[in-house]
Amino acid sequence: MLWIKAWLEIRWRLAFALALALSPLGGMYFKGMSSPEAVGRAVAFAAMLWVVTAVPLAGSGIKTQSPLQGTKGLHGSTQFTLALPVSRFRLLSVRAGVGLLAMCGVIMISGTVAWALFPVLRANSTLSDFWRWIVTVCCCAAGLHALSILASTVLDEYWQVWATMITVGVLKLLTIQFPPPSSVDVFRVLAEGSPLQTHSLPWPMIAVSLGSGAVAFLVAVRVADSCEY
Amino acid sequence: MNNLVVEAVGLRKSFKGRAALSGLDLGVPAGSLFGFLGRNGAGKTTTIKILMGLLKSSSGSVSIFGLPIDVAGNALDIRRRIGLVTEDKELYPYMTVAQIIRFTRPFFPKWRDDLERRYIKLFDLPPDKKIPDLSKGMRSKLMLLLAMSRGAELLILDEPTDGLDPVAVEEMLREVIRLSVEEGTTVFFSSHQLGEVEQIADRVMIIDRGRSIVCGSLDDLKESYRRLHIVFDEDIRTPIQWLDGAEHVRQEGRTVSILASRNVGGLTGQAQSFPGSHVEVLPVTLKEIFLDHVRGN
Repeated sequence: MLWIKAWLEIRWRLAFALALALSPLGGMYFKGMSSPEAVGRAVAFAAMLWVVTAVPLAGSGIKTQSPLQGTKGLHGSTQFTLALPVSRFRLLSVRAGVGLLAMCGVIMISGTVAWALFPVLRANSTLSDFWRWIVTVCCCAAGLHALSILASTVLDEYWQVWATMITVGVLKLLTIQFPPPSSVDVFRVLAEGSPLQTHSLPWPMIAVSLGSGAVAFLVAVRVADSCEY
Repeated sequence: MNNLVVEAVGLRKSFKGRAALSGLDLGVPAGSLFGFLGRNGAGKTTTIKILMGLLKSSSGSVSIFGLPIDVAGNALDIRRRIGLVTEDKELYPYMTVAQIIRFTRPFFPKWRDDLERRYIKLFDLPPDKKIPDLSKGMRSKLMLLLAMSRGAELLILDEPTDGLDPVAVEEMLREVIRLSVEEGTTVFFSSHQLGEVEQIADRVMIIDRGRSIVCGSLDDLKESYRRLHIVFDEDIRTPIQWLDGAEHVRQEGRTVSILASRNVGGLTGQAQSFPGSHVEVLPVTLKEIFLDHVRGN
């Protein structure tokens, strides 16, 4: 039943995330964008936006169950939730799992719409490349999703979003200042290093993103377990 | 005492250096209706949160159903056997009454459909109404339904009558007594409402500043406690050293009021031994015992 709770908590966020993810594609389409370079740049930007939707789709933490209560600093139904015969690990896992599914759904729908709307994408890439691209974007987003889950265990949901986005901004600045190997540069594989261009999966980046996501999630579980409510 | 459903020994808890519990000992016998009383900030909710695993005690030990709560694996089994009404009465704002019942039911293998139907009818709960649209009283009733339909062996009620009108309070108290008598459910009832506790409890504990100051069977307490009202013909100029058993003494002009916890005969004799004294021995209510102890403490 926890998945229903998680779904009810994120359904409006999902609608918002989907609208956000599709909006640049709509803009590109109605502008009549067709040159490969312009579409490539715009789709790379859109993919970055799809990854960002992972942040709100992580849901709010055990402490803040509803947006209004969260911003007021109230803890809402925390006591009711924690009195259920369910471990905090399970509470966190189900929320993360539902958020992850929603996030993959947003990326898949948006990717499919982009693939359908812009023939220039199909000109130099195969359907396999498309799937490689979707998997890559999902893996990038999964790392950010786990980071957002971790933030939600210690911050209310208002600061959860800001803290996650600031972390991403700092990471971006660091990659500019100290460029990592191109194979593990998350920002690069969403743009010029995307599987639509390279026709292969960026395995090192996938490993880094999923690995750091797993570490962030495990830390989140430890934090939630030791938290007092 | 054997057969304790809840047993806490030397429970301590501090928040930012301020002690909320200072070595609390607690024993709730199986099948009892246990009234847990105290002022605001006395440590009642902290105790309940520790029992439910929401807080960790700084020291001391707690067992529920004979299972230590700090042993991994016990917590889920314990919570499966407990029905809790929280102090805040907050439930998921995005669910309707029917949805939260459907959500809660599968977590409790002993869920009682018959009780669920009974309470929906008794409390007049509208199944399709969203939780934020319910009044505080209706939310309290819904929370009671969710706690009392679990088939729980232990019911922990933290200010359960908060927001209820007098009729609903009576219905709720009757149901709590019915669960205790007919189902053998142990009830741990934390409240400010001394009248309600006095109406249903068979054992009470009064806590103040995180420690127990009175504990025992309500009948025994009311039997052993007496108020001695003494009026002297003249003002008392020297303080009187009262015999053992005088819990709290208030002296105003020619009048002395003593709350005696035992040795009522001895104290009465002592009072009568003073020339010009008129002694009256009165029964006391739980409220008097409570007020005298927490003020004296």
